[in-house]
Amino acid sequence: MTDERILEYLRSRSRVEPPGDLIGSVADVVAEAPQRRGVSWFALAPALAAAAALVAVLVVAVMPMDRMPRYGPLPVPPSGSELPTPTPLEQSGTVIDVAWDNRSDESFAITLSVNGEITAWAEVEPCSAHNLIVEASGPFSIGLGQRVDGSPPGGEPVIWSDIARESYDSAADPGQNELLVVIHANGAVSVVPRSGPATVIPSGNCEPAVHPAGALLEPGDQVELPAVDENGQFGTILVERGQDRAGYAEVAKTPGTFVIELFVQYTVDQLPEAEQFGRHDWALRPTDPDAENFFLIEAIDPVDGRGDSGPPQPRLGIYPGPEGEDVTLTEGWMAFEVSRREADLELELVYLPGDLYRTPAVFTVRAPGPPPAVVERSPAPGDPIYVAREGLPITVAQSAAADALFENLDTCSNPNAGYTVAFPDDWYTNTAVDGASACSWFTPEFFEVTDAGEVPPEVWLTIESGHGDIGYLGTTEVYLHEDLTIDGRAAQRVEFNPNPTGDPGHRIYHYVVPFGPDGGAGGTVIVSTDSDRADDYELARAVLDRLMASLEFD
Amino acid sequence: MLVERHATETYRLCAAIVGAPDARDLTQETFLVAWRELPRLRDIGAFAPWLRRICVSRCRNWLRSQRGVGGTASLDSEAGFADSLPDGRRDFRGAVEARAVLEPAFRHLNPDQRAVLALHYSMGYSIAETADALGVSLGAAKSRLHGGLKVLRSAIGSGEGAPEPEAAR
Repeated sequence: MTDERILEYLRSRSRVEPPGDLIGSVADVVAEAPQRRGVSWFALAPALAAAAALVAVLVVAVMPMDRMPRYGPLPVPPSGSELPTPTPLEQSGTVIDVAWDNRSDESFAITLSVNGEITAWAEVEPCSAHNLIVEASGPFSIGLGQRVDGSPPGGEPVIWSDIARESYDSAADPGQNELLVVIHANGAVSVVPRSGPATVIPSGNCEPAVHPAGALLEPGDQVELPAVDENGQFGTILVERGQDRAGYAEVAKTPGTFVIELFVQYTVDQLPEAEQFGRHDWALRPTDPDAENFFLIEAIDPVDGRGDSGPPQPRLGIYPGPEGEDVTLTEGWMAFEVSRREADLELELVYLPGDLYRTPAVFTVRAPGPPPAVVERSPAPGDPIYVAREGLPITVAQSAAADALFENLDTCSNPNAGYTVAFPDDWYTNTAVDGASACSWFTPEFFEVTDAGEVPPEVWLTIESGHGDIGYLGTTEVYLHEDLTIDGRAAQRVEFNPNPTGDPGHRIYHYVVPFGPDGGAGGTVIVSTDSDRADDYELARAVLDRLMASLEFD
Repeated sequence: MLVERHATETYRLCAAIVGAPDARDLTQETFLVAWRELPRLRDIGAFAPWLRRICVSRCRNWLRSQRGVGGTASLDSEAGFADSLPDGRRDFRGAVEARAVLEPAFRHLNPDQRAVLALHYSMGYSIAETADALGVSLGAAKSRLHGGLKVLRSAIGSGEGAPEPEAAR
């Protein structure tokens, strides 16, 4: 039985016809399910009658509420106003203190759409209420738009979530063209036909709140804070600082990373009915909002199938998680992967739960400083001896065979990654194929590409380019980790075994080189050989060194 | 519209990973999660790969929940088995033999290996697309492909039934 049988079997697994009612049944299930933002704050309109909407004018009266009361009815507009008086609404629900995070330039806008086109819009602020009088005969919709950083001021807002849009038909119900829109402190929106019944709407204190005090700089440091969602506090959270780690293999997404571990424990007084809480409510970011490449880092997904490797157990999941998921739901570890290039930034942990638009809590988790070092073992017999060779910009593993191979050279170029390398004239490389750019594979054996995207088994050396890197497990045995310069770029040369316990003889040897005009922001090149691939691993390693010595970027 | 456009492919991916009998439930679960999380998706153009990642995650979770559940499925219980039988121009006996040996071996792969083989070989996604769906680097995806094929090859070679599952690296 050959590989062809295996491949044919694998292909057969997807050659199945779905049930005839699959689409219908899926659509039905989805239609009954709430979306992540929980129950729509929009009062549902009755069934709409078909009608032609020709002209609509949106009249918005802005009544900013400077100091919204903690409890009680919404304030009425100043006397003498020509605007209709908003219907007093019952105030209930837990009022939550929301920290006023002015860092973002987000602004909100109410939009009016007729026939799918935005015909009018008005900017609104949190803690404001707006009377809308829509002069339209027929269907129209009211939406919540948000203009994000970078979009032109005064420009039409970017509607980023269709959930913030509800449809009305004034022809079916004339009362629907008078609406009350309330933008709450946390950015939630309530829209109620003013002729309809009073709707219970939670409110929020618009006064800026002090962030919960505390820092998580050292392992063992703890902070406690309220667990909140749109309805208010539902419990408390204890966060404890863990260790900084050199990294986890197969998890790293950015060049040269390290990991910050945090343990989170929720004590829940009342479980939220519709909302989720857990890992995805947390992120790391630089404290300085003007830091270059300001970013949010989310915790590593613990159920990404890494078996026993990766973040420690138990791992914080997302409540309510599916049964059988290998995480605990209310407590566990989170691991945040940080680029080593960001190690000189102060970092903070951000709690941004559910649908809250403003951050209720922020804690400093790391002061600027060197990241944890990748642990190397002591040199052992059999390790390569690196020597300098005339004309080569880097040292290379001592190898007479490799020296002989490089007496006669060929060159090739990868137009996608933008590099050129020299390789032994007796060796082979690939032209561009599906799944690999030209000049990506190198081997002394002739090979043919039989499966698109599959590296032929004859290949000894591979060059991958993209936005990725390989981090290192805490248990990885590293034999070499050297910083050096490749064509003017800071690079690393590493030899390691990712699974010394399970596969003690395995070796991977690679170079990691950022490329692109920004020396890294454009991507990364990983040039590697693997003892599982190369028939003569020591020769492959030595050839790889000489190939890297010749590498030049365009 | 999104359901119409993506339901069939999602179903086939589920079938490739977990088998046809459970593909329908996992397809529904995938779309439920996608619907719930859709407001978080900022680029609607990335819906297909995003949905694929959800599907793979759901399938892997389901497989993990089945650990320890006894029993083996007969070949006839697979709804897609009849469809996968080759036509008369193919080696019918060879295909049946392959399935008789490979089916148990495939079931003993760990969820990672099943997912990566299904994505790349069953569904025909590129290595890059496979790695993206799994949330791993290209090198890791290739390593898992290599490991999964190795397990299947050894199952064929030993002829002694399915091997012990390998831990993911």
